[in-house]
Amino acid sequence: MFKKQTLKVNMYGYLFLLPALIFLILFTYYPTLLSIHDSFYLKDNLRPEGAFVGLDNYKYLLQDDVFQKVLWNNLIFAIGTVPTSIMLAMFMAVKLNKVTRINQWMKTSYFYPTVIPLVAVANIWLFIYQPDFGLYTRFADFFGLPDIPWLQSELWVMPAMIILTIWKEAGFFMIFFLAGLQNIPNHIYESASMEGASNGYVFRKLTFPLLMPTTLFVFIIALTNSVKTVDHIFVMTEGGPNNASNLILYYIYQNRFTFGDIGIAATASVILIVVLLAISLINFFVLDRKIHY
Amino acid sequence: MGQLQLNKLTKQFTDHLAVDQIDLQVNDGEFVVLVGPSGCGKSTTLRMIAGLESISSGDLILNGTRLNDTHSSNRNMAMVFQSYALYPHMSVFENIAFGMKVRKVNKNIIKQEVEKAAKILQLENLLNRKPGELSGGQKQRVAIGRALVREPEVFLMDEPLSNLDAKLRTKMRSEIKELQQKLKATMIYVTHDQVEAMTMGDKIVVMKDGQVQQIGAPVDVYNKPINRFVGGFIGSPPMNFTQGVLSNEGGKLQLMTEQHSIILSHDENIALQEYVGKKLLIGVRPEEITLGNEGDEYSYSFTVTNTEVLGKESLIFYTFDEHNMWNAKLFDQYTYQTGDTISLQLKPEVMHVFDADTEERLADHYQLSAN
Ligand SMILES: Nc1ncnc2c1ncn2[C@@H]1O[C@H](COP(=O)(O)OP(=O)(O)OP(=O)(O)O)[C@@H](O)[C@H]1O
Ligand SMILES: [Mg+2]
Repeated sequence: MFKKQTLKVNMYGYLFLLPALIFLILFTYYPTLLSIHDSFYLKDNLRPEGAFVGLDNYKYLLQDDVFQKVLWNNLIFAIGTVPTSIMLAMFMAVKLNKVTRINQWMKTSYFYPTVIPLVAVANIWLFIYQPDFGLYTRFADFFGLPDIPWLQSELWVMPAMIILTIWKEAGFFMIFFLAGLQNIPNHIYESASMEGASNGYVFRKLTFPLLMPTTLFVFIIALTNSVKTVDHIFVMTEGGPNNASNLILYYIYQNRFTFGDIGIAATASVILIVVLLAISLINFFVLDRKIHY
Repeated sequence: MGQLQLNKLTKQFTDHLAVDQIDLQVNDGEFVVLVGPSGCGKSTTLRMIAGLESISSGDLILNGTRLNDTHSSNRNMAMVFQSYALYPHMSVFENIAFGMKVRKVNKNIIKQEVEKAAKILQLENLLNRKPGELSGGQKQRVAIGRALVREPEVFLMDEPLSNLDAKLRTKMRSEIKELQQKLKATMIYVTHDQVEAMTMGDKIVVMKDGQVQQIGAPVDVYNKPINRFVGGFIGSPPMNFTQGVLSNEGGKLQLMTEQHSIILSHDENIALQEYVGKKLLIGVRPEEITLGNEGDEYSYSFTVTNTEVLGKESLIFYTFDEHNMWNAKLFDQYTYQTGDTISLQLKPEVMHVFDADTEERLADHYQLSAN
């Protein structure tokens, strides 16, 4: 009798979860399974019904120079954007944490890039990076710096993307750090100040460790963003020159919609999903247990 | 140890005068309590002394040296915050050792000092715990330990007991006092609790609206409150007050209040007779009112509104007149009901006489005595 009732109560609970579950299945799990299925097939515009090829797609990808380059690019992109934007965000938050009118303005202006759509950001930076009459060129002329063909050079295109991404994301991460700083009671700073601790010492021994949970959280977001956001590539480089700015998500898009190679796109998607899953597992096991104090 | 002097110390916030020209002398080894209602400027005063708040005007002098522009870390003071301000990610040991590490004290000495403090404060078994794993009283002790190892000239404490329950507060109260006496420490202690002030201080400073009302030993302040505010603030339950006009009724001085003629003196020649025809304010402490008999001298009848029995004592609340609710603390258990009539004795010698307009205490020779 009692058991039946708990079961009934539980049933109601699950019933409420059902709508969300339906959408999850429909738009996340089903496509995921479909991609896994397609990754074992040779499937393109000529063979829409597909032919089973086992692990051939995987073998192909692992030997594909472009795919390797894309993976490498993504790694460089992550290494270039994640630590720098986190450090910059933390620095800005610590500097602007005190409530003054100037700081309010500064915070708003640092946060502003975050609310602009990435496509619009890309357009702004397209103008900055424009050779001959772009903003950078004029700036460089004025200060006597060498002109840089940002988007035309295989060497410079990745730094260009990295700079743009840091510019866009640091302000966003700053908000998390500002929230994290709010949770640190002011009295411990006063106490440390009475003990004679310098600003640097206070940052190393108090602020930084106490911000650790926030830092880990931001780290995960930054890391997933570095794999997830490619809007600017559409607008600025289309992966070029010579795939120097191509990232894995854009590579998937290219294979699926430009080359019509469904099997390869599905296979790359599966690999991407595995990578993202690994990142969210870090999230699950490290972040959720946090640093306890 | 330190001797501290505050000369006309003032704190002006942009739109608010928080501390108004405080003069105070804190002697070596003295336990001084700043007491007053919320918002009266106690914390601000303490923070100016600590160097956490800049001084708008006036001087702060420690052992003859002016400290106004000295950084808080060089003032040789240690503060215990109301919130304890422990470093949440550090163990008790690290919390206590923090300041010494900053000053690059030798590791072995740090260990000795922390263990010494831990022993005094009975924290020996807790040194590896984080603040989150401690009770309120234990956190409190860690905060004190951190101040202790500093060996400061002056200890500053801002309502350190206000987060503790009543029982623990009583215990910690005597522990802090005991520690202070053992160390012969100079201590400035902020509280809004007049019981803490009375029981702990060698000297109490009663504040209101940023100004010092009265400075003195607790008993002196209790016996001779300088004005109505101090009389009402120090002592629990608070002093009862009534206003009336002094008149000479056939050789007796009486206070004519709304409903009662209170006899103040049978001798019309005492100094107070100068005030005949003028308004006076009279204050009587609840614990100095005794049960009377109808017809007795100095006995008056009142209507009871409520009775609270506190074990062997009873608090009787009653209507003095339309504008004044009074209470009396009687030794014994009484069960008066609402509406009962009670006869209470108001002897002249327990009355405090104040000027009705300024609410200041009249000079000693105007005060009443038994006759
Ligand atoms: N930073 C500040 N800026 C402006 N006004 C302030 C500031 N800090 C305190 N005040 C004001 O100064 C007055 C005194 O504050 P203070 O904190 O010293 O009171 P307190 O006596 O310690 O009160 P409590 O018992 O509530 O702690 C209050 O009216 C408060 O609002
Ligand atoms: Mg205060």
